[in-house]
Amino acid sequence: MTLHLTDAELNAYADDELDAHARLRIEAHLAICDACRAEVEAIRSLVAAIGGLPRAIAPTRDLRAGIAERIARTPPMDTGRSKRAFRVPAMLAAAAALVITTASATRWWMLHDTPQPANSTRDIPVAALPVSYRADETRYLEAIEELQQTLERERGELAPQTIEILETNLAIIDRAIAESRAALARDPANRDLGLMVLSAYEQKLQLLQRARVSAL
Amino acid sequence: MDGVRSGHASQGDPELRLDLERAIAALPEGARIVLVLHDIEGYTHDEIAELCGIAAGTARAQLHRARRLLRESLKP
Amino acid sequence: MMARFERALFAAFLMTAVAVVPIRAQAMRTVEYAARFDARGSLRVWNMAGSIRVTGWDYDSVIVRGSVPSDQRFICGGGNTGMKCAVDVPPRDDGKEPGSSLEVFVPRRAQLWIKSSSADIIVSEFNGSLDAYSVSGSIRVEGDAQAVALESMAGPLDVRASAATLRAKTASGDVRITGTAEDAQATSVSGNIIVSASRILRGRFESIEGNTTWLGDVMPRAMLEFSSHAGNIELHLPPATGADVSINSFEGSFRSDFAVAERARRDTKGRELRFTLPGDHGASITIRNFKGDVRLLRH
Repeated sequence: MTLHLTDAELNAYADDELDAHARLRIEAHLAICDACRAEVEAIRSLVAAIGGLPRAIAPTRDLRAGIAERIARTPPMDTGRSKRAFRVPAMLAAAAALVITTASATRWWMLHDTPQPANSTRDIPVAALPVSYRADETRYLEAIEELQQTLERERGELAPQTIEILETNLAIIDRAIAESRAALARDPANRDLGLMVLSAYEQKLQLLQRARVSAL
Repeated sequence: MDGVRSGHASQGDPELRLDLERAIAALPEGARIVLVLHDIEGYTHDEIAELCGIAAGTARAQLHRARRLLRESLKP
Repeated sequence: MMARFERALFAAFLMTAVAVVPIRAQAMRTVEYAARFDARGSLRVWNMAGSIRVTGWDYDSVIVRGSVPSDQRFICGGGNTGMKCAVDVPPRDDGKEPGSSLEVFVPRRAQLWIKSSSADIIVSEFNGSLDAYSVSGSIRVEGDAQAVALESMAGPLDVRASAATLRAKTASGDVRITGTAEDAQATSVSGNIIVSASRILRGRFESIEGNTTWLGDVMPRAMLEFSSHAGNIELHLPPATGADVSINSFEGSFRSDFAVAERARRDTKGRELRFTLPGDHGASITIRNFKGDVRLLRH
């Protein structure tokens, strides 16, 4: 009788979470077990599909309320990890920032009937930035949101060429913001990464302002 | 695994996407929260454990359960 | 209305054979406007399509002349401290307005503000402050200006000038700088930035995906900053360059013709290098690149 891999093993392997030793062991089994291999593929397809979902689904209001409630009930945890500046109460601010980023990321998409291109930021998970950057980020997000709303209102006054150039370059900047943000979230002490994130936001803001000038 | 993922499976087909959204919304609350935080928002198991006041092992188990339930509900 | 001085001046210019070529085969008419103007007055010029050529001169007057499609209005107005000239473009469905070619003469130290969509802009012999904006038109500046600020969505920017402050920003156009500046800033999203044979005291060059190239000498005590997300950054430096160099690169590769002592970051990806090029310029060069390549080459 062949024993199959457990749920935990299959998922951990699909998520590349295993150390080299465990991975080799699992791969040895997968080499001879069609069923488990199919399971891994199915899990990976599912996760890829979920990753491509529009932001609107996450997080729901219930989710945030649930988190806030649990955080209030749970005493602050001192995990002794110095690597991350990750404290439970700060998640409230992070949740708010996530919502703003969501709105900003979906804005231009909503103007079109066509599906957003595959390289959009919706594909990239949004991790919270270290605390010291959040104030700056929130300021940028608010300014950017305001500008995007203004541009939507003035959309009729922009030449089609301007809109096309704007959208192409916005997509490029959004991808850069997402990539450098993700890197900064994993390495919060890295000041140069922080500078790169903020200067990418600055570029986005300036690009939107530049597009507006063409309409005035 | 860095933060870049490509969700081509759902992106081309709006119907598939809708089914997936409905299926996620129908998940039991604990499983749904963990799935959304991990597979959409990109938090790690440890971060989710801190967030939700549960053990990391429980977070993992909830995630795996969510994925299994989704796959079952999405079978044709 | 024009004083005798201006009429004479104007006649002189009409006689010089400067051909004004219509952009398309359509009915065009010649336009002229001349007026006295303060040496440091402020002039705004609008022309969406075609070309705008501005030349600085030593007279306290402005002359605008050109060729405009017959169905478009050419409006100039204002006083001798603030004037505005515009080719008024009626809306068209195809967004392809036939262009006007305008030639402008303006006091050298005036304040100039130019806006175009696809019209190409050339400014020469101008020593004042210049703000030029285009969507896809190219912008070229020659001469010694006081302050230059150029912005475009897709138009290439070409600065062959010196300025105390220089700002050149594009989304997808290329930025080329050859000249002198105390304080220069060039940014681009997907266009390339090429700085050659330039004497820049404080410079910041940023791109997201475009490549950045520096060719040539570094000024004594210069502070240069190069930053990119995915574009390559390449510095071609003379062997005798003297500078403190700091390089932060996260996922891209690094190559140097100069000797460097690498100091890698602990625990994380990427590299951080600090070294000194042993010349006596006392300059400082900072490079930040997320995933593009960084190269330091001998020029």
